[in-house]
Amino acid sequence: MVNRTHLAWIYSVVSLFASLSAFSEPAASQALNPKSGNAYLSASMLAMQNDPMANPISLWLEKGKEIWSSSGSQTSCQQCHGLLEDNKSVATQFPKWSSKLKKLINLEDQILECSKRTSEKFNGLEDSNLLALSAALHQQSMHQSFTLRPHQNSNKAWQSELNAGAQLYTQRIGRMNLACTHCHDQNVGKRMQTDLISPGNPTGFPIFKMSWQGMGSIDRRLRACFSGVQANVPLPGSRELRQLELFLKMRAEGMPIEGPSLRR
Amino acid sequence: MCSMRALLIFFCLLISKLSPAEEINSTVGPGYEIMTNKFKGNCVACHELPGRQGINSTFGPSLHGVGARLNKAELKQWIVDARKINPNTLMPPFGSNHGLTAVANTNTLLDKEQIQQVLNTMSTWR
Repeated sequence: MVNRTHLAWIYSVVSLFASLSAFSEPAASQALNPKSGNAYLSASMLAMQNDPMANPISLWLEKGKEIWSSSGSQTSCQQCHGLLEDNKSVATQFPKWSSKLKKLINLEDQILECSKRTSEKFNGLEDSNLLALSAALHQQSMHQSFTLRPHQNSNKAWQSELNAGAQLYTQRIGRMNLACTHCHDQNVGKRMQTDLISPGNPTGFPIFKMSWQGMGSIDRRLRACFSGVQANVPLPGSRELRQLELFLKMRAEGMPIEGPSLRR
Repeated sequence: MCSMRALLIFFCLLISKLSPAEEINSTVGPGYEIMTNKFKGNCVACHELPGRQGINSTFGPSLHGVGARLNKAELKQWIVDARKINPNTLMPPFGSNHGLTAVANTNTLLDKEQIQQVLNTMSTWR
């Protein structure tokens, strides 16, 4: 026999469970596996990263600050964009659609484009000084999330690039016949010799990778994955790398940017 | 002469006690070299292999005892093209390029002789 008191008790228990599950349910803009690459660093690497005197990225950050404000015969970054410290959200917005270039561009593309007007000349997207500026801007955006949205006039093109990125992420490629999702969704935390597989959230770029003994962009890291599965490696700055970057950053939506980071 | 014979028997016993014959055979030779070479089979990138010390890969299953779990024909199929066993497998097809996209090199990952050498090694892991 179920009386009203009993029904009220059942309802309150159900409500409690419903409210608990609502708390545990991820928000619409939360990454599926919101763990950054830093969570997979060894204790000694983390200690190195947290110590500016030991962290080699400090050299790039200093250089980036210096380039930002210095001007030779032409314009400096600061003359157009103000103080570096006033550019807190720049790195959160890339890659974005360029109406001028009619394609997706990332922060390094934008710096290279800007350099045509400044006295600072860079030798491609992996130029050390270009990466120094990128590192300095990413550091300014620390603790913020990516804010990637299509421009009102480019909604369709932007969405098409995002869809292509998702397609690339799940497509088996190369002689290893593997897709990004096979490692970075299905086998997170497993070991490939001494490497732990991370969810591939791009919140720590540009990176200083020990095996490179230098700074590298997200392009360089993605190209290393293409090489790892023995697929055709896209050229730096290519359309598919931008599509993939857009998808990965949308996938990491809600996660804080951690600034330039150390990797093994 | 008798003491020499006893000494020889003692050494034979000692060696067999320390490392069984199949272990010695299975972790040396061309098959094992292919499996541990980054520019050849590089099985070690995903699997735990007998004879390896330190941190081991856990992406794929351990290959300890694989020769007892699978017969030679099954092992060969896993190496050559595991998609025929499981279409969703993450095991790369080492002996086939059929259906692959965006490959950097049109040769198969391993040739027939290399596959046979790997097969010979793996089948000893019991």
